[in-house]
Amino acid sequence: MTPPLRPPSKKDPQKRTNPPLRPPEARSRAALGLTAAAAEGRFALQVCEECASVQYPPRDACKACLSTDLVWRDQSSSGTLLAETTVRTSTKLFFRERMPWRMGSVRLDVGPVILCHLHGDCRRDDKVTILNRLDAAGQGVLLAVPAERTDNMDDDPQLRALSADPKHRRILITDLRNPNTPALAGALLDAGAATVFLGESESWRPHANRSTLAELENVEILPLDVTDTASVEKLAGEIGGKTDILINNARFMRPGGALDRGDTAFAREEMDVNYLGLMRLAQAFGPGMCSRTGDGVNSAATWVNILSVHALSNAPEYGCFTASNAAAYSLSQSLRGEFRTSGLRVMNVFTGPTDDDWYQELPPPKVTPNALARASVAGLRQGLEDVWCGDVANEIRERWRRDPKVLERELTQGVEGA
Amino acid sequence: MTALETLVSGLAGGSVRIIDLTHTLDPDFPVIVLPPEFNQCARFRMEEISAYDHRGPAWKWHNISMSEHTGTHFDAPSHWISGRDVPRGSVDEIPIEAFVGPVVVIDCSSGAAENEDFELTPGIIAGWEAEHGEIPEDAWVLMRTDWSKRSGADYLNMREDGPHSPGPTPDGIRFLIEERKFAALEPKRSVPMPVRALIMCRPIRRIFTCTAPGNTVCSVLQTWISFLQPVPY
Amino acid sequence: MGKRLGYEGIAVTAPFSTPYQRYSIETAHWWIARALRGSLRAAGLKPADLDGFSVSSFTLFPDTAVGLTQHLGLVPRWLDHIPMGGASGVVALRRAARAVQAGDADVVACVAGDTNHIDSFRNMLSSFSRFAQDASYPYGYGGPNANFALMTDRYMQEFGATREDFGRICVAQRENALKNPNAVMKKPLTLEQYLSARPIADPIALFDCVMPCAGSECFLVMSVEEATRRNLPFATIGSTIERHNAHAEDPIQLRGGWTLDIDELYSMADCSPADIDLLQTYDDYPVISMMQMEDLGFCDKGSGPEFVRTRNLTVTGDFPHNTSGGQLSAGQAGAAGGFIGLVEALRQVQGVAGGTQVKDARKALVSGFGMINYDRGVCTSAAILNSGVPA
Repeated sequence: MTPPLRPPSKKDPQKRTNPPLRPPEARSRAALGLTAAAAEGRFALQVCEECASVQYPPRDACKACLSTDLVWRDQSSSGTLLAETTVRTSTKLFFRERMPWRMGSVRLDVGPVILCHLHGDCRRDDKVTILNRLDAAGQGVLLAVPAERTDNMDDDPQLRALSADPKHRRILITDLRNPNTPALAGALLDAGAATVFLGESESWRPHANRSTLAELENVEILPLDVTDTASVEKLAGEIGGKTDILINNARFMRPGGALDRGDTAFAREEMDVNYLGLMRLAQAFGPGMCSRTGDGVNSAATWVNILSVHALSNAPEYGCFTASNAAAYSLSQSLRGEFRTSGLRVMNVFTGPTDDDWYQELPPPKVTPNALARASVAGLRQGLEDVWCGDVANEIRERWRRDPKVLERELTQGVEGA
Repeated sequence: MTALETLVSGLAGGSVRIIDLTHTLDPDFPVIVLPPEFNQCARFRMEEISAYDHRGPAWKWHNISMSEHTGTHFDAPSHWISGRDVPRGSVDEIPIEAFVGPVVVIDCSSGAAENEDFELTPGIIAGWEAEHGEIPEDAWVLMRTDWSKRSGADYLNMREDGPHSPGPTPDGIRFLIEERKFAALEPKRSVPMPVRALIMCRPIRRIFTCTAPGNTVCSVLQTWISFLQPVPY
Repeated sequence: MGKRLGYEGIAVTAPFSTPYQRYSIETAHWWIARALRGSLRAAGLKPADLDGFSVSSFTLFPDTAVGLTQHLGLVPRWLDHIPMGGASGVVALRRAARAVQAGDADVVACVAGDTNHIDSFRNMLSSFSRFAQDASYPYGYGGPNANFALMTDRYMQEFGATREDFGRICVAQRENALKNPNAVMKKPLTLEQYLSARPIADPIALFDCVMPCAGSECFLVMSVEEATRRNLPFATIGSTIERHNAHAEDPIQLRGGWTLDIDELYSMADCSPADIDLLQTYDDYPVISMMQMEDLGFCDKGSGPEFVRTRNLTVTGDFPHNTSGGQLSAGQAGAAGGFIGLVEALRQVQGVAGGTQVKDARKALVSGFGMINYDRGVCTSAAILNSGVPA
């Protein structure tokens, strides 16, 4: 049984913070298929299109028929633990500081044998489930967990290292005013977050969320305006060293494309909040979070952006807003690269139209604040990089993967004339 | 002594004082908030260009951006639709002399303290004139409300039906414009639409919004005021 | 399979081991030069007399055997580079023997050597193989310790082996090592000490693991006529086998590729396990030595534990095994670990093994095992060597 994870004790001010360390990052190109699947929490393996054999480790040619037509497909994640070991010494500093480290050899029901991280509750010959998760190097790795849930299962140190679980962590949500903030804050507190900081812009402008949220225990409302560099820097100075997860939900949106609007006023605000706001936050909070990824139970874990799924392909009814989201999405990819050596993750939550004022004119389905909050917390727990929230987001993702040009053509379709 | 020499020696001797009616702007300074489907007044922003660092080793400076409608400001006749056809109705076209004139202060601070919707009515103006004499032609009229002592949410004083603050009634403005032919004053933030339209449609009227963190010429402290001043053409 | 050509007329001679060092500031080139010079001196040859050269090394980068020819001033007409780790000794031998038999070369030096800097082992792991990089090292970076821990764990489960059984192999090898002045390990080891040692990767503990070190090994292959002419003691080759990626369908490695070729190994050498005077297994961990005893026919699969309980594995015992102390006690000098057993076996059958000499050693079996490419060793090899008789 896994012992329950205790809240971190108060930090010894005389102790140096553990530097960010990483497990090995180098992978072949073929092996990155595992990483791509892990980014979405899927367990996939290489399959030969010609002879259908499933194989692992990833190869460039089929070991059964030498075909080079290999694709990644989701697979049953069930297997049997053949052998286990507890590694007590390693030449890699990341593991050295986390010893002992359990690993095992698992025969998958679909055939291949994998070496994997091993949950503390797994024993030799047990049936196990394989999780494909991103590790601190940002690479997909496999972890065997018990097939049936066990007590405090998520508190296992190796499982937790492959997640960004909100439990015992301090989380900044950047925009108190966003309609999704109460649901997000509530879900994070339910998930065991130690503190939820809420950034409030323009406190002179009253807002209903304030009274709802101010009363909650473990919630702190703090001034933050993502369009104001000084405000962002000031808050980073105050709480940057204890922000373990940052959820950027600041959003400015208005309907319309370029011609609908006739000027750049709203577009500037959209870029200022949605794109430059992210940049200001990253510049102010990024370095501090990057330095704290090895800081124990409440180490800095993840940077979260909430983005329109149309960041992938523009929706002209919201053309300018979507463009600012595309910019933010692109910047999030830059941040992934810039954060990489620290192990700080970037999770993008791609959402379809949300159930709020600015999407009133669109028909359902829409993403409710609760659904968005659930997906975000689940994404953190699974350590995902890409979360697709709602039917629309999932559909757009599928269509985008199938053919980005076809999707673009369909989204930009004109109304049929006479 | 020429008039200018008199002014300079008065300033030097302390018999004439310069009063700063401005606010110091910061990024959290309240600005007018319109319904969200309208374009919005930009917030005051100040971004460091460099501060004796790698971006510029020996100097510190900033880029600032703001709306013309932020803090202590001047509304040109062309600000409002009723004044859009006023000749030379934009700030850069107004002769500089029009910005200098005599001032009267109507102290409404005690009334505004009791009632956040306190109104400057023709009756109050008449009362002031009974005590101080008729408002002279070409004078600026300042309405003292002490609203500048407030800050943040108190300052904006937003309710579900919009912000609340003291101001003149349409009748009061009409009286100043039509009966005195010179000046009106108001806590501009809360000027109701009909009043605004009335003022702006006159080619000779403009509105300032400013604030006085220190004393005014009339020993008015911390006053949030607006000016209406006649323009000589 | 048709009958293979024998190794008649081939002599293996001039075995030389450069004394190992735990850490060295020298390079692989330096270590290889030392061993090569040792063998050439033993044979009374000059570098120019060599026309064949075979190299095994992990730490030569960016050089290969090609760079070494210029580095060492050699002009071979036959050149080989064998990247097979623990299987490389026997593979170098069998290739060189065929080259001499065919007349492609007259005198071939087979050399293996590696240096061991403070960080060499970690650096070697990080670029060892693509599968290891992609699918093994990210999981705790335990290196071979973790791989063999898993094999050992499963082997114990399947066949009822205990830590004491593995300890018997290690303790016996330490006893042998104490007779080898060049062994890195110089203190006796008791079974109690073995059992109470610091755990490394359960169930593997400190004395199950080899000590990485710097060192080099060399031998020469030539015709029996040439060896006789030079008055060199030599060994002859009874048979050799080599196999790669055998039993890929086994979920975990409990046997090696030897099982595919063992019949041929003995029939070609015209002998049986009972005729073998000493066995040199590849011993980076005791579990793999136990598997070799099984897979090479000294006992049935799964009876390795019982076998080591009933036999004495020391130089003076009834089953002399890894007589120089093996890698477990003499040290693992990188690719030279694939040569240590072979070079020692050559000394044994030539009767020049000194303190570790097995009485009347005439026939030795040497086996190699190499390259944990992912979850198991991929390369296996074995050779039977006989005491040479001058032509």
